[in-house]
Amino acid sequence: MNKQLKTLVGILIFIALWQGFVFMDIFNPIYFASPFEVYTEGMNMFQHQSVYLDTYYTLWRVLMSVVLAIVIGTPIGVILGYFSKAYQTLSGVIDFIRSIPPVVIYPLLLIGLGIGDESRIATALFGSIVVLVLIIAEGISNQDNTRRQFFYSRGARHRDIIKEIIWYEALPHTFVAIRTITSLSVIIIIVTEMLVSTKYGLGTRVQNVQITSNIPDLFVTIIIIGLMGIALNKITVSLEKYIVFWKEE
Amino acid sequence: MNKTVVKIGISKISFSLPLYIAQEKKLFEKADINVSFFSDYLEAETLCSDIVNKKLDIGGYVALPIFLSSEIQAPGSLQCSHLAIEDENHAFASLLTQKNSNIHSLADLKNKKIGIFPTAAFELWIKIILKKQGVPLDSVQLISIQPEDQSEALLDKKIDVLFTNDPVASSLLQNHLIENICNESLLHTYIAPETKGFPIGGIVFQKSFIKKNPKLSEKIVAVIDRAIEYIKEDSKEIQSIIQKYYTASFSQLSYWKDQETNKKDLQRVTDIYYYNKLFDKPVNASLLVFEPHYRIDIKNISYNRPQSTGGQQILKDISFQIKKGEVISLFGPNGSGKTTLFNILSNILTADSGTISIGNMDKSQIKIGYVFQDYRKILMPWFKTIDNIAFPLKLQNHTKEMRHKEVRDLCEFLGIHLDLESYPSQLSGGQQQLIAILSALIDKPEVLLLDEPFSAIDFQTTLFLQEKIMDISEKLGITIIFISHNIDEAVLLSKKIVLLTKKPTTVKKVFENKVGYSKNLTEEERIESMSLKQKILDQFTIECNKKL
Repeated sequence: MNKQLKTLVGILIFIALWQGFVFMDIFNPIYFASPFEVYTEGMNMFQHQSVYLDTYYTLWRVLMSVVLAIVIGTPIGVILGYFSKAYQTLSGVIDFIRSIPPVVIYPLLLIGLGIGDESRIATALFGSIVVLVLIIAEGISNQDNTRRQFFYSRGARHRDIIKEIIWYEALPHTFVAIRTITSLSVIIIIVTEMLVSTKYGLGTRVQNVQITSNIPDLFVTIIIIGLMGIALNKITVSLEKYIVFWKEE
Repeated sequence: MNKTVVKIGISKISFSLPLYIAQEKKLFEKADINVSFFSDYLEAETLCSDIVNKKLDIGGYVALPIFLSSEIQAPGSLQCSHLAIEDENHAFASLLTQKNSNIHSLADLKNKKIGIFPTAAFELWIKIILKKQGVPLDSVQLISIQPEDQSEALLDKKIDVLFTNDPVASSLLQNHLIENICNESLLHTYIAPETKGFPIGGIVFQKSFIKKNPKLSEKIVAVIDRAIEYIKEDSKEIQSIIQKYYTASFSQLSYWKDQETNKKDLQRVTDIYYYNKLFDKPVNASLLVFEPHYRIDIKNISYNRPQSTGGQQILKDISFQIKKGEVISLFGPNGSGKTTLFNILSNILTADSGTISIGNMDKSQIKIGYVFQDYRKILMPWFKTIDNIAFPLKLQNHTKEMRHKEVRDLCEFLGIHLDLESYPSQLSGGQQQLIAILSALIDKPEVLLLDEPFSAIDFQTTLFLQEKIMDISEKLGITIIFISHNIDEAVLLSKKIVLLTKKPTTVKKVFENKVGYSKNLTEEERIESMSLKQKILDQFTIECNKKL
């Protein structure tokens, strides 16, 4: 309760400062909406279905890319983290891929996969999978290996160690990676929606309100994107607490 | 006070002889053991199943294929204490035929009628022999014949060949019309020629009986040992006992091997010929022979750090010996490589030179349980306590039910009460340490390594664990080596204290402790312990003051 109260006070301070800037007329009111305008626009926006559809489609694309990255990347990260020689061999390649901004791959994927959701999800996947693999592999390879060595000396095979030990040891790192790639996927999906318009999507909405200079709408969209990020993070943290129950706070 | 009555089943076959002798010579009574004999077993299968179902505590004799098949059905329920071994000097089974027949070798068995002793083991053995000789199995007719009808069947030519054992074989060979077509030890020569001995069968204990009555079991083993000694003497008295029970004489009496039997060879025979050949894949049969006299020899162990980390010499020619069931401690200055030595003993590290052996076995054949100083590094917080303890069994592909049963049995046996359904993080440090110790014990190691087991726990838990560890050593006969920085603890618990030097570490001196572990020492024992402590501390101080 205390924590929630503190959060509420923080939000109120933020809104007060925001309103203060508006009163002081520091920014041009054409580009800077007041909290009241944003509230009014928000109430108006939520009367229409389009904002829900935009949020739904962006969220769907983000989740698709995150789920695919987890499904494909986690086993790769676990194996690379366990077999250090393989990780050392491939680390140069992984670093190179990580250094490529995912958005520059988007045009290439547009040609290959078309202008539909596939190319957007594939771009987010490209950006997030390398980060996920890297965090998991790095986490496992830096983990104390006493447990593995011990059970290896007691007759465990690589298969047993990966299934019974590494998999669990990797889970905390996997959740760190999921939180990182979720934020990354939100950014990539919205940018790709802004670059090539689609019928629904928060990136498309940002693009549209920019054209019409509907600043309060833009502010509401930004707030929705921010809230979506917070909600995804909260869900991941709750899932982590449930699945990685042994992790010390 | 009611004494346990040991229920012993005897199958009417030659290898029950030690039990008949023990009965006749009142060896059980002399050893103050109450026994009840059940002698009407005709088949080893029934005998074995009655031991598994706890109708009997002990049975003899049980053929190994039957023992192993019972093990498959009820894994971990039986333990073999004594084995009958056929080797080149002691034939067990014979292939008999009439002298005037056209059968002169094993190759001549094609298209013949072979009478066999009516057990699954004999059927299995003859099939392996025939297969090895290239005789197609479908070309012969195998006929099971009861021992009392075997002579008549062969003499009346109802069968061409008889595959049997004593006493029928010895009795028939007294008839000048009968000959043995193979004078070699059939099973040893044709089934396991490259081994020193072929295990034919054994005296089988119900494992839970041993767990419940460890001292009594040891006494029973000693009684059987004595009976086997009588057999080996082959006296007239023994012949009369044989006559009484078998109405015939035995030509060979030395199949029985006592505890000193070479386990390595037996294990090899069993592994190669039974597990692989007869059951296609290895089974979890725990064929164990009591081996109370082995000694662990640690000889000239040296170890240098890898060149990448400086190449410093850590251990230099470390040598000492430990008897089975002994508790010893390693004591020495900080950083003297004690944990490195443990890592070498437990195969985590490989020594640069030197050997570790138990009897005739190599280190790789010895089961070693290891409890780390930082036991938290080994526990798996994602598994419940019961699954942490049972994890070594999971690696050996035991089923979940079996693993959990083993854990519960072990806790019950040691009188340990733990919340097995909780997670390690929900338990205290001492209880977590106990999980690590139980996990090290669950697959019945011969040696238990404890690296500063009491360093991180409170005094009360230390006392509890010390008592449990000594209990484990006594009840299970496990050799325990532990590292300690506490001289009082080392002297209280161990029979031997190995004092190590600074790096490069070598053995400075091995101190024998004449006072055993006891919570209530007499005044004399207390003085003796104090004197030993002082001697160790004097040497330790000299070592610590040495300049590098």
